[in-house]
Amino acid sequence: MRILFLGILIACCQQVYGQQQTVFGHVIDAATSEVLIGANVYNPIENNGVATNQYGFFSYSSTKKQIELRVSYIGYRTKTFSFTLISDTSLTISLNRGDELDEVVVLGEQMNNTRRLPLSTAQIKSVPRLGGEVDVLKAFHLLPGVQSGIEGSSGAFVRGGSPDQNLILLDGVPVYNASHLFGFISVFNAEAINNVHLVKDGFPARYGGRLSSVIDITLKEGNIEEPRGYVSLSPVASSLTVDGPINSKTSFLLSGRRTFIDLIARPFIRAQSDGEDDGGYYFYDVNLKLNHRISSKDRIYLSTYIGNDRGFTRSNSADFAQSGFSTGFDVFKKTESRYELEWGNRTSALRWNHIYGPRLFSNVTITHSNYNYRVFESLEESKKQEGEIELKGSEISYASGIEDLALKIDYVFHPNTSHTFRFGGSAISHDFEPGILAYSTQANQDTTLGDQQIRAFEYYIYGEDEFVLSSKLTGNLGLHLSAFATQDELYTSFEPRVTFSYSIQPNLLWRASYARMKQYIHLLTNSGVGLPTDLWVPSTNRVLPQAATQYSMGVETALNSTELSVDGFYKSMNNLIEYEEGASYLSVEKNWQDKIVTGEGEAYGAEFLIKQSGSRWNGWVGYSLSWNNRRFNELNDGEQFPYRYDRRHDVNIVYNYQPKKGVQYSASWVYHSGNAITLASKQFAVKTESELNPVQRVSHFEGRNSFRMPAYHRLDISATWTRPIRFGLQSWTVSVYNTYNRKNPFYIELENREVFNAQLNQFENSPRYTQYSLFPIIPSFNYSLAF
Amino acid sequence: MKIYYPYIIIYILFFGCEQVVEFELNESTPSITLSSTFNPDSLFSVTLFESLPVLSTDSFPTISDANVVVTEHDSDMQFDPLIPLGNGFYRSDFFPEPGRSYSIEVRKEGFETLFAMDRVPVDTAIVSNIEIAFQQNGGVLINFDLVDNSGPNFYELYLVTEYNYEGSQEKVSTIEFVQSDDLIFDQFEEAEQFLFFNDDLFGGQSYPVSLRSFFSFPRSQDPDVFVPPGIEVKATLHVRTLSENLFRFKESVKLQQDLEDDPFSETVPIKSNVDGGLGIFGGFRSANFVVFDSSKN
Repeated sequence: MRILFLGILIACCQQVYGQQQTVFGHVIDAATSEVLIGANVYNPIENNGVATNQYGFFSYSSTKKQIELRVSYIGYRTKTFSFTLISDTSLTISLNRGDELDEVVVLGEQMNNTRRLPLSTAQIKSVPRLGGEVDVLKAFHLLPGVQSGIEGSSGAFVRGGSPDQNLILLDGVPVYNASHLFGFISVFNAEAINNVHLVKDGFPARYGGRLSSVIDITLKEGNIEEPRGYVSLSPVASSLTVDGPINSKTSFLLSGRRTFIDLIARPFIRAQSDGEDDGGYYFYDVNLKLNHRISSKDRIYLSTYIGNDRGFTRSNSADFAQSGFSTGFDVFKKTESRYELEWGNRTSALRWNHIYGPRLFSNVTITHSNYNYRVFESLEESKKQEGEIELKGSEISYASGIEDLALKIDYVFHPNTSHTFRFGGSAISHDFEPGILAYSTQANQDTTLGDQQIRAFEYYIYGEDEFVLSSKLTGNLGLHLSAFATQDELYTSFEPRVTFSYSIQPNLLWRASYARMKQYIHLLTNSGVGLPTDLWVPSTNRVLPQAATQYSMGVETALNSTELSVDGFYKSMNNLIEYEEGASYLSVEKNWQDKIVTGEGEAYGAEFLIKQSGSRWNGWVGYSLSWNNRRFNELNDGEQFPYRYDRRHDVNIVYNYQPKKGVQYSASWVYHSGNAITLASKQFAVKTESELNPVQRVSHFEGRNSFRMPAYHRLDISATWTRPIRFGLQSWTVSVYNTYNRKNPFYIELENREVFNAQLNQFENSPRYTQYSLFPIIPSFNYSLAF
Repeated sequence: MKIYYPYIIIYILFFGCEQVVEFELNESTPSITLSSTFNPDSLFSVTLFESLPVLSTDSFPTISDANVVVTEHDSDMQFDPLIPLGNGFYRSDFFPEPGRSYSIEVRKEGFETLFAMDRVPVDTAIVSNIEIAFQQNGGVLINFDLVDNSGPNFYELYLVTEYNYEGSQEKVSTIEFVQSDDLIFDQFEEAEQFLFFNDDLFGGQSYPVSLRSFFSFPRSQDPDVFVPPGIEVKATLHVRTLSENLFRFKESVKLQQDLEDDPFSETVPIKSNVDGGLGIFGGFRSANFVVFDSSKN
């Protein structure tokens, strides 16, 4: 394999030393000088071209002297220019913003072999919002092949995978929990985002470590030309984003967001309890990015994210209590109890971009990522009796987390227009705290239970060639090799990746891909309630790494402003983990490895997408037909069972209408088959040893996930009015979530209620299944001001 | 431990807008429920019930007109059909034998034919070196050695106390709650009446077991006097050797009950060895050991 790779490299490099010259540089936004990621640089004469990378860099080589380049990017006016290429030339191409959604699609000019799902940040912002907040991840849930979890959650289930199988990168740093507000909005502040990129098949070899998808989010670099700001107010959160130049070579972006639910709710909670109770919930996040241009060939970036969610309740009580007849003295008793739940991410990346020459670009990055959650409970009781004070107290905390420190090196080499080589590697140190319970009381000081820290090291190297074999056939061939060292165990993986695109006719493209993926970390998820109780755990000497193989094939076509694509996929997964039957998240005295079972899964299906990009009407219709099953020897008697999110049909319709400049109406309708759920269908008698109660009632489950919740559907609408004012551009958005007030199922549980029987004149037990729905119709508004 | 309280409180605070509707579940067809645990000390017997929809509060209907046939599997010897004695109870005229496998077939019009098979364990449990210690707080500490037989073995253990006032013939019998920190018991925080364990950790060897309990009979005011005068108390340790099918069934029933109110637990399906129906057909051997007898101490 190495010899073959070297051979290809030499063959390609030989072409370099022909009469080939290179034009290279960056494509930037004319107004802000920020780089444009994924812009197409296309030569219509030679019918070839390249795309800018994550840092806006491109390198285009040609043996011809007369060059014509057409540079295009969604939402920007296409620029075409011709010139004579005598020697290697550096260019910075600036594009002006156009009518954002007015785009004519030419498949042959899409120079990126990585399958990019067609959502620009402008389109993401146009999707109707819950609580007025723009949500990047939720917008992706509206694409075929990407499913949401329970109502409101931001975890994505991509092609039968689970949320932990999505590699969510924020400026190249993995984010382990992308949820605020119990998953109702994601941690990504849309105003700070430059580009979002979702890959769900044909994974390039540079990505690894997750089985199902890559969501690569790049923050804005900051306007190098002039300072600007953005304020947004909505019932859920308010945000402020400012960016601008620090000097001619340095720019910054600072963005902060916080919810004010707690400030509104706390006075009511206090008033209702006469000041004895307090409680609240808030989240915040802050993004900071610094971008410094050292020279025309060197740039450094510092990117930091800090976000936290915290909910708490506090209760105080104080009263005099008669101590009884034994002493005859009054006792003054004061009790204070406190409960807290907190989770948050911290990520940082320090990156150095270096351009070695017209054809070689490099990136060296140091990253740090930390995710923690903690539950805390304390009770304090003080008693004053006969002048003496007696203090009693206890504290319990349960904490879990993961911390990564990584060094990453990436190179991009453009020997000629037919090949782009990417290669590099990374070393990551993982520190896992899979769940530690600590408690202390007066009698029993500082006791710690549960699992201690587990340290693991992950390494990978990769190489890929994005090639153009002919004007019709392009592809990406790569190899990702990785290793994971933990608890005296070394796991390795060999992950070939192949993608081919063949242009059957102009504007009719056929794609096929194969990817083998391996994942060394697992998310241990409770299937009962949807709370942030999930534990990140590593592969260990007992728990093997999870692996997946995915085959995907599809065709896509484009006619003027309409794109149509049809894809089919088959994905097999193994070494998946689940809690064993009867395992409880709360039984912390038991090691997590003793509570899990491992098994396999498969998912397959077809996805259809029709996307329309017009000046007035634009949007898309997506439909997925899929099957998603699991098989574990220890679950469901070893029989195959549907995954909780096995949804046969998933429909998403999103449309925007702009009747005139400054006015936009949007609507989205989602429908999906009900989630699979395990419910008892019968009860049966079990004889006991008790004389009082000789027969016990026991529930019978037909099979794991054998029932279906009712189907989920919802219509959201919104209207946005944008108007320039003296010092900026202001927007009002009014949106309605769940417009026809559908009671969508959130969870179903068996409840025992007492019902009065008038005939017998007594209360009787009346069990019934109850469906809980979360969100009724929710109108909301958002005001924003860009200045 | 109430560590999940904050989740629930915050969740309720946040989801104040939840709506509740009734979820319609299709009516399930009833199945025959077989309840038959057999051992060499008793005549072979079976009780048959009908299952009920999960939302029903009715009593379980019994089935008294089914054709119940038991076959000794090893010799393929079919016994006479079991005699219905009413209330779903059927009895044979034979005693199961240790180490033998039996199969059962139940036919009843309108129901699927039910079939199950199980084996009576060969050996009974052996318990030796029983020691009992009374504690100041009224608790009792019981230590003993369990001698495990060869092969995989599955045990159920419980403690029965009987007391009566001297001269009275009426005895009060109680299955006591017992507790142990031993790793062989996959036990929750609370004390249990029945403890289940297998010999994974001590296969074929003698294993020291320690139990704590509180005997439930009238106590003396004097902490140094464990049994007040005028009362006779007898405590017996019951150790059953269960077939694997019976062990899995009992263990899953207990786990389902234990986790009924835990919102963070995974569902517990009952491990049944009955095809075409529900319930259990399981063999066991029983051995009893007196750990305390006030009339002899």
